[in-house]
Amino acid sequence: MSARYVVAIDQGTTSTRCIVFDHFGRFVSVAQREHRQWFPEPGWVEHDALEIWANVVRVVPAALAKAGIGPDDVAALGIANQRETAVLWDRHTGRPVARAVTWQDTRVAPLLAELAQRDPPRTFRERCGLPLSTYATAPRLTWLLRSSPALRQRAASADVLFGTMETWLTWQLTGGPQGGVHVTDVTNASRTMLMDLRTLDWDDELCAAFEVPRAMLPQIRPTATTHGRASTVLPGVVIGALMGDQQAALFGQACYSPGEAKCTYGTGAFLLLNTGDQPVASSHGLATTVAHQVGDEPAAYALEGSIAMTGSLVQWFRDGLSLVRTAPEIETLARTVNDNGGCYIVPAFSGLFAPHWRPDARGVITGLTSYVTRGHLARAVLEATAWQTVDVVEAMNADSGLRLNTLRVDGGMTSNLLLMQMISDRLDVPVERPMVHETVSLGVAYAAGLTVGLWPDLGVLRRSWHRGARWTPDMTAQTREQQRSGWRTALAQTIGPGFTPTAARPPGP
Amino acid sequence: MTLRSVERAAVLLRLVAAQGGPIGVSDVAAALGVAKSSAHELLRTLQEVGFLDQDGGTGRYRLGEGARRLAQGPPDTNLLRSLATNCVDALAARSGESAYMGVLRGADVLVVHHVFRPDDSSQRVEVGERHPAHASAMGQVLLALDPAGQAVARTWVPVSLTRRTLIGAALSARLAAVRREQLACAVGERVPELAEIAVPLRGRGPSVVAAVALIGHSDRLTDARGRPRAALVAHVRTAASAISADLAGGL
Repeated sequence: MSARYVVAIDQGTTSTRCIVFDHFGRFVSVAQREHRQWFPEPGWVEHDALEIWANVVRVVPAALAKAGIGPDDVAALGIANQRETAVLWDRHTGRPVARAVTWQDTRVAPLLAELAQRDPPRTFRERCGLPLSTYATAPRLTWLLRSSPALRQRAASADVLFGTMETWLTWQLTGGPQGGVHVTDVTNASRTMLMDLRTLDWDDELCAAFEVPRAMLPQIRPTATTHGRASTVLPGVVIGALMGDQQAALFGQACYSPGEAKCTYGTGAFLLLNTGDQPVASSHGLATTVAHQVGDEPAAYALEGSIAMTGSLVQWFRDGLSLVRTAPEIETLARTVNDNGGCYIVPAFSGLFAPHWRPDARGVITGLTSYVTRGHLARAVLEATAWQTVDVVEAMNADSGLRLNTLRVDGGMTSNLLLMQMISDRLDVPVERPMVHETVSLGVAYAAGLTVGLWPDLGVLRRSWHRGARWTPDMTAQTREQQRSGWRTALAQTIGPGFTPTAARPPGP
Repeated sequence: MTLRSVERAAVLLRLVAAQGGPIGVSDVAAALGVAKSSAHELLRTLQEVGFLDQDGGTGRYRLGEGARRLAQGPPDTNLLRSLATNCVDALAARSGESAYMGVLRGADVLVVHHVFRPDDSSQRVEVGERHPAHASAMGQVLLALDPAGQAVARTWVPVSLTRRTLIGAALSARLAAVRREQLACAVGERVPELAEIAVPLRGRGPSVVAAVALIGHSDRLTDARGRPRAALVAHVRTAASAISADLAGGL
């Protein structure tokens, strides 16, 4: 029998998962292993890249065994990954030279002011699409290479290689020190601050500004292409796609046309809007990024807005305030009342993210009266996620000139039906969730399957996306405006006197 | 069961709860002033209903999940949905039909989860709606197998919703069959053109906490003889064992 399955590896921040999909794109089996989080100093967050590689070696056979299939049944492998995490390793021994510095690590914060002097940040941003922040990979490389002159020398001679997680895993899967392939894809490269969004190649001036020798960088490839063949774990299987996790979710949600957007609700939330074959510069604090590139076709771009606290606010409500026993029970509590009782919560626990970008902001609860119960607070917690979504969507509409007409959602919080209705009510557009929850894995599986011809084109993938549930707006314009004004008043109080939120309003009809 | 043994069971549960750690058969026999064989029988019975757990290594007993949950009421329905989400999605995707989860509330089934039929036709989320239990497959599962449902089924008089709704002796016979087969199939009993195939969901222990079902047009869900299609029954049963495992881990 010919190979009919696609295997996706989702190398995430807390765990590595392997999911097997059949040729209809249906979930077959999953295996998962968590890895250790290292916190050597305040603000530092590291992963052991060898531990993660060992987890891949274990979860892939485990998922295949659960599915009752062998490597011969696998048509292609795709890798989706936590983005922006930097791994440096010795190409001769295959061992990392230090623990991987993750996207959550803020050690480079003191460096940013100095790096900003090198070049007006506006120019950085126009070329690579990203604001200079602790998120991007490039400042981490500056930091790591400054830590040791010997390391810098070995990087310049390509004895030490750099990669984000998909690059590291692909190199290991294709032979490691014995001929491992050193590649990344356009979506991951677009998160480094070192790639020119238009040429889709490393930019010499950006590399120079961040003191990164080009010799250590992987080759940038399209998302969906034959990246190599595995020589271990799944011997002989084509690695058909590499993709950053949020872009993979956009792909798994079948957002292939300009104006289509998805939001993944987890600890935080990531909203990506497909803007078509041209990058759109943001004047509202959003990142411009590559959405995907299939084979030789032109790349598709996206605007991205991140929300720091969504699920983590519910966790705080559960663990910090002990007002619910489990996260899903916040819906039960919220349904004990009909509205927020005038109470608003802005979860700027560590500043405000997109579109405001105020690191100095701090969280507030407004409108407290003796009328307010824990049910009202539960509502305010959920509404905070809805209003933060609205703020990002309105910034995207303003930047792109597009008007979002449906929001596709995924992630754990989509099982909160009250929240989904709140988002639809406040955005005033329908909200849909797909039947397959695992959109990150599905997206990279789709892309890998395209590469080997398991699926002929995007049209087939679009038709295999199915709605699991849909919510439509059910709120009067008057109520919406009244609530919006309550939210914005609360938002202003996160900064202190004199601050007026500058969130964009949608362009006129 | 005599009143004396109920009293002994209550004393035994208090004894185990007060103990703080696992307790052995001899200690129980001594404390209750009964023979070891009687103590053993009592412990075994309470273990079977989930009020006690037996340590595999030492054979000693401690308080079970069932006893700890007594005062908490039924599981939170939003928690149930959250735990079951992945499996119910897979059920809808594999069967091609709408998938539901429901719990018993009085004489009704409350829909706590609903995943659309994967054909992208116009559908709305039906969570929060109530189906009269006797006329729905999920309801029949819960009336037959949920202890609260059995109490409901004994006392209340159901009414016909369609010409195929079962009441009286016919309903009793159906519930007996559901108990035997751990499966309910209701064709046109609640809404004329709809068929429903439901099976029970169990958390930790033997008690039924919810039901999972496929509901769709009877032409698609049943064969020419009005029997549920075997492939769909297999899908529902597979999903139910996966969901039950997830509920056991999370409730």
